Amino acid sequence: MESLNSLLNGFSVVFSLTNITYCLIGCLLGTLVGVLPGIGPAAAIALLFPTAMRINPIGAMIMLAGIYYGAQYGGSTTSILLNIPGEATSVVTCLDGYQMARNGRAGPALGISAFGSFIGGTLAIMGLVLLAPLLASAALKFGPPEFFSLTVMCMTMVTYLSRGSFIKALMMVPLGLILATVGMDPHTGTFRFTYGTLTLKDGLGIVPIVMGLFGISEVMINVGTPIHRTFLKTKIKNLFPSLKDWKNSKFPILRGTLLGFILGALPGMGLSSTFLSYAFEKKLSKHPEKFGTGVIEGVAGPETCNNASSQAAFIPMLSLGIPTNVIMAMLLGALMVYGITPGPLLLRDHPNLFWGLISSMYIGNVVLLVLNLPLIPVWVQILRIPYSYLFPAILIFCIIGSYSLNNNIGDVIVMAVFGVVGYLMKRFDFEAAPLVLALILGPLLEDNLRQALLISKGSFKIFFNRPISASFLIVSMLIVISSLLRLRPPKKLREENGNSNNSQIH
Amino acid sequence: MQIKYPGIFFLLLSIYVCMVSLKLDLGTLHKPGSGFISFWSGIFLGILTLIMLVQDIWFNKAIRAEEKKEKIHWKAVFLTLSALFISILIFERLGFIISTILFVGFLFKFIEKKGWFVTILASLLMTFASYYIFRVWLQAELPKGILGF
Repeated sequence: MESLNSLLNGFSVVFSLTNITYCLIGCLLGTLVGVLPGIGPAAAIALLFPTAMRINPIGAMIMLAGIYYGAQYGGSTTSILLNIPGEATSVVTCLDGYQMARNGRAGPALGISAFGSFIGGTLAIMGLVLLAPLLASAALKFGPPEFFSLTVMCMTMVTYLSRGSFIKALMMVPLGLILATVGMDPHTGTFRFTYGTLTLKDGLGIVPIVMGLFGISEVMINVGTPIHRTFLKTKIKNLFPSLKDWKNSKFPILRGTLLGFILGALPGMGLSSTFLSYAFEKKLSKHPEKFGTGVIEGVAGPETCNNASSQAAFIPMLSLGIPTNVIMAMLLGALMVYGITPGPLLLRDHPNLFWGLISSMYIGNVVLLVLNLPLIPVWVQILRIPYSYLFPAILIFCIIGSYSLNNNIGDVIVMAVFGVVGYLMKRFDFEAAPLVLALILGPLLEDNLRQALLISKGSFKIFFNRPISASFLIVSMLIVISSLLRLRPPKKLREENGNSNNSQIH
Repeated sequence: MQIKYPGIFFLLLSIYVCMVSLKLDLGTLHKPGSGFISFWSGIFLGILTLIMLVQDIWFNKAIRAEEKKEKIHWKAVFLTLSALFISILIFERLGFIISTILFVGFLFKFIEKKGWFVTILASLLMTFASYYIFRVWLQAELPKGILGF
């Protein structure tokens, strides 16, 4: 009941002309970047970060959050119409969505994806309303050891669930922690890795680094290996799914919501949830052989799942101050720029922001549903803008965005350097997400580690004597051990590769 | 992709970070110093790099040989990055408008190989549109440079 009252209070915060406008802008921009391959929500949030910092914290968070969940709506459009996922979470939508479009059913595919996203998103927000305050009040009992262990677990899980090599992803964690130490040590006042430069004395800014790693590097990848887009010439009709489509989709939508909600709240699981949803639907289907040929269940489940998961990701961020993905890390960074400490105290100290943000998501979901379907022809036209006209604009926005943070050219140089770093990381298959997460969580980890060791007089037992802290660390250890045991590729794969090489030699 | 180059880079980086951290003061376990986290992160990074290199040399050779080489337009990447760095260097001196016109013009002419008309028109349009959005509308501070606005 208390949550309901607070939520109503949140609605009163959102229902101001300014905040509604920010919500609308966020949702529209989110859909736009979701539609456009080559620029994702991370880069878009990084680009708008400096602008967002000029407005009030509630409006800024509403807008930035809108970009995130709006992108989940938009990502499906390119998957269905072009067979190119606008977002990583929409990869699986290509499988049946594109086939549906080829079969002349682009309308129902786009329709069920929008309705599914709305249902999944809205139900997940209800879960968020119930769970986040409970988790926040439980987290008030956390001390430095618990926060240290929780940070370690979060970084380990995100690393574990990264694509590609676990070792490579894990390497990005110490690298991010090293970068996080640049600047003044808050405990002793000593400058670390600053080399006498003013830009580095304040520490490496999250925004220029994220812009470089995600924005600039993405542009470089696309300049180096241009995307060839083939438009499917199909007429988009029947955006409202038929009764039969609804009948086939109702359970995938419900299952997708549940799965997305549970997995979205766990670090790094957002992306995997859509694949799991697809696998679930295929497994439970009476006609699994039809999956991949254009069945609506293959679109409804994953699309609902990715929206539920994107809303659920706010639970640990808002209640514990722990981001579960890069976007949440960036939103956390935004709160920190405002001098707001994310975590269990956020609900107590800034209830308007907490409940205002949650309420804005309800409105955002309605806005997205109402705007998205009629605007699909517009998004399709936007997709026809050649990349050659888009990438100079993205680069200009990156330069302006990083410069206008502090009117410091040093930030622009940091952005460009990390653009090169990000490009090389992509080329050598190193993931940027664990690095960014470690960079953002680094100060929290260091502060809590040092405090815990001060309390325990240098004994590491403090992390294992306390049950919550111990359980977080045990989970982390299990993850690392299980991943290290799988270092060697499966025997079958090695044998297959060996054979293929031999055959080539002969 | 050859992993030994990033491997060597990360190894050297971890050694460097450890050396600087030692100078910063590691402190004690009772009271960790300024270099504590960076030192242990450096050690951790070094160990992981060694594991990656060993894993690559011993186990993955066959798999790596199978990787398909995608065609990368290195010249375009190099030119774009060079233009980006040069535009950053002249950004404050020449100001936002001139540096952006030159930067966008270069990208259109030499990366996208557009004609002079499209190059000039697109670079002027993009520069003034972004100036209007960020400087006039959002009131962001942008360097004035030699034009004075």
